[in-house]
Amino acid sequence: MIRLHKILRSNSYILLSIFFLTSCNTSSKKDAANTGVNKDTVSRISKIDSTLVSKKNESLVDTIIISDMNFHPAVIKIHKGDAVIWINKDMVTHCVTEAKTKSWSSLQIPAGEAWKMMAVEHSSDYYCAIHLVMKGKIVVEKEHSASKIRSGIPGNSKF
Amino acid sequence: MKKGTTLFSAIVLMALVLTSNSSFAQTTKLTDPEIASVAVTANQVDINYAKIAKEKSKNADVLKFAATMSKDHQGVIDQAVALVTKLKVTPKDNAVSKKLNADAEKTKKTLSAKSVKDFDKAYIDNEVAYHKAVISTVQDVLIPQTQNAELKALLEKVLPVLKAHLEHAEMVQKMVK
Repeated sequence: MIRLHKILRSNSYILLSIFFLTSCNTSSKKDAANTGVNKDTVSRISKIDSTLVSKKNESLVDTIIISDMNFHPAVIKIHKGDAVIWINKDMVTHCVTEAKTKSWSSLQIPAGEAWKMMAVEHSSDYYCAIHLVMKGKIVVEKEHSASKIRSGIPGNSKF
Repeated sequence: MKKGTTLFSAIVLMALVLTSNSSFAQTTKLTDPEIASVAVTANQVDINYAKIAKEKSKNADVLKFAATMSKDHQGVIDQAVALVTKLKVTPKDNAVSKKLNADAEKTKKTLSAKSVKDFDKAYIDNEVAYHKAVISTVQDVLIPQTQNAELKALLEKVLPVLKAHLEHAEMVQKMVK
């Protein structure tokens, strides 16, 4: 089954507004460092809007929905260089932090907002540093072919 | 041995109080304004427990948990207040919210009287028991009795938050000896 949100081509205009605020664990400057993620492209999206689903972009955006205190899908398979966006549809603030060495960490993601990490290069386990029981995993596979429409991950998502 | 017996007695007493609360709530018929009041009270009670933890605990895991409780429950209250304001519903004090407050006052005194050494375990044990009781009340009493669809939806959205809190509390409970 083709997941529409995984065939999004992202360009800069998909983001409504981008600004850097306090980190989930107050050390945002280490966002994505040493993981192949460009911290300058780690962004916070102030509002969720259908324009996140753009057709004019070159790289792919993989979407993780945070709802009912879980990451959906809990395990997401992406292609090297893709961006990942977490959309918080819960009623409380969440965040995401790399689990093993805390090599990257998000800003706080308030209810109804989203956070995007660009150019993900490496697989990683992550968790919500506010709610320690919430865990997820990013599995980076080979670089994607821009012209290829990828399939979703059946069974991983509750949506 | 004596210490163990005392602790066991305290846990049994807490369980009895909470079971009594839950049974009490289950036999009470509530209107939507009363349900809104119970929801806000239940959240405020846990914020108050977290405040004591912030004052008394030195344990990083306990403090972090308390900070999460404070922030999450305040967030729930804010959204509940926003909803009842929109619905033009005024939360109405009732027997269940009064009992919640009365029992919370007793627990606050017990927690405040604990030594720093004994506080962490007492606090986190209470958090585990309290969240179990609140989950049961929201699931079995508040949601089924709520008439307004938006208020019901809000309570249904709160439930996973409470369950994650319980899981988190149980995780911290294992760390606190």
